[in-house]
Amino acid sequence: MEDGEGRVGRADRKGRKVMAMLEVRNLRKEFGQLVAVKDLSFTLQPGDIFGYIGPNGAGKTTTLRMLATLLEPTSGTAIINGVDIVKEPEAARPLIGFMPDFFGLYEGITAYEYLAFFAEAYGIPPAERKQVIENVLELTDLTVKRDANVETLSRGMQQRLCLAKTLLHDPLLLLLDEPASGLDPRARAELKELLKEIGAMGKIVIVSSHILPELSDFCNKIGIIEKGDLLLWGDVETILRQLQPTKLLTIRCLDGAEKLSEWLNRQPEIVNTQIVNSTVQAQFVGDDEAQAELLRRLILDGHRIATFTETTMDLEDVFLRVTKGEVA
Amino acid sequence: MKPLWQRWVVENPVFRYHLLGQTRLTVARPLWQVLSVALPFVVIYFWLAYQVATNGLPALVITLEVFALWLLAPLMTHSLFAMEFEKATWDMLVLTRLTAGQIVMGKFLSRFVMLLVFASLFTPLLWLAANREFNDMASPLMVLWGLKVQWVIVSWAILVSAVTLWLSYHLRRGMVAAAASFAGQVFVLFILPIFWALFLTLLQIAGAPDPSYLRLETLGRFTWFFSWSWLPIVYNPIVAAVGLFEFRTSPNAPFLWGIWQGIVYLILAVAVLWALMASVAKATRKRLL
Repeated sequence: MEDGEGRVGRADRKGRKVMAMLEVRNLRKEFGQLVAVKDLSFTLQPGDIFGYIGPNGAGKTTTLRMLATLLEPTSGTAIINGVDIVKEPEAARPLIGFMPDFFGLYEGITAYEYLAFFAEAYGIPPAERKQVIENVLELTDLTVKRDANVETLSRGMQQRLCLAKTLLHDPLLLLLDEPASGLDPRARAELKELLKEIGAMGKIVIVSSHILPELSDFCNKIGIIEKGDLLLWGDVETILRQLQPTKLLTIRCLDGAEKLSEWLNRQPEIVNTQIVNSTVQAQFVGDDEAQAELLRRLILDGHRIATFTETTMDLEDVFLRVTKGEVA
Repeated sequence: MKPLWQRWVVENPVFRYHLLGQTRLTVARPLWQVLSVALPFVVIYFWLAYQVATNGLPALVITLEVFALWLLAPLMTHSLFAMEFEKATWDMLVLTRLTAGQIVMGKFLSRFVMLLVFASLFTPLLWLAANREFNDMASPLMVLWGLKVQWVIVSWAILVSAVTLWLSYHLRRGMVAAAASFAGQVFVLFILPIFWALFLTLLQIAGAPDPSYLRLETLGRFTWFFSWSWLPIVYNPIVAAVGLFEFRTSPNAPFLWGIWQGIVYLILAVAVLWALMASVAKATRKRLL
């Protein structure tokens, strides 16, 4: 939907027009014969944390670099809060925070001086600079390291410092390219918490990764890219529902698996059963109500149920089902 | 819009970082270590001052200054962009509000200040040498001579810095490529002129006419500008600076000798810096100034 000023908007539930904060339109990048990114289109709203998933070489970094205005698209564009990143890159940059996969730090200065350098470079007024720096240091839990030389910080702390730098100018869109790569499990967990906090601030966060468990906890939307193609994107729950029309129930009965399997096969909601070790795995079609009803009938028919669990698909299953393992 | 001076120097974190932040000692060193590094230089400096005060030798001071800046100007500048590419800080710098002019001039001016500091160290030596050597010159003329010498040498060093900065950006590689470019510059600026001088000497030994650049007055006031020897004059500030020594009292000295070479160096430096700013602005889609 486009208004008279060429800005992209959409109607909310009450019919009021709201600005789509990020709309990517047919974004494409070619390097000679190689098409690195093929006509990507998606829309994200404030507060969305978008997990951008794909194997190495799929086009994730190219997409993020285009969105960050560091790389000019071959065709297509993206609109951030009404600003076209291709036509007005300089106007778009204050709205964007980009943390590259591989980043460096200026030598010979402290964490505070590093942030002061970028605060000035981002044009933050001198009167506000100190407070802004203190705020991002606190948010990233680096206050105690403010006077430490940047080269002496651990990889995890340098990552946080880079994130603090990215947040200095209060960007609306955060682009984080493989932010957890090279971090130990504790630093990764801390980063996850930090990203959740940033998402709660109403920013759009795009996190690219090929390590799926790290995304599954805090992303509400995902996009899967392979060979430059965005194979699917949307709400995590919707995607899971689409990809998994049947639920997988794992049931263990103290009276034996074969007897239980026979009983289950007679039920209309059960599509198929399989005995794995001493448990029965049943493919079930129905909602939560039907699932509860099945359990009730099982118990009423005298089956002694020890476990009754639903095995849901995770991002890794989604990824493996959607992709073919190809690179551009 | 704020004046360029304010944007390029006063409100430019790139300028301050390269001038102060990058040069800071990151690890506190004991005083004895600092002194042991600094002391030899101090001793050499005062020994040199004593020698020129006793024996004169202005041409030696000029040559030393040119050689020092020959090495220092590219050495200080060659890594300024290469370091950004090597350490992957370039993208982060591009995303800030700094203009192409602020980035380029911030880096360049930080080195310009350092060049001025280094050049100023030679001023007392020049003055001591001139005071001993030029009995035929009044004090104001001696000061003027010293200023002209510094003008030629510093403006030439500015040109070398600008070209090195241009190379550092256009190579678009890390520190290894920058080091190779530095070595190339040392060869072109330092070793090649020595070979050239050797070649000219051999020509003279073989009986060829004297090719001295300093016989230019025979070509007339402006014709030398277009002569075959113009490029080497621009290329080599020793010829221009030593020429100042030769022409100091000559009524037939070429018009604006020394001043003109400095102007040519600076015009070329401005052109190189402008081209660099335009390249950065185009590549990063940033404002030029």
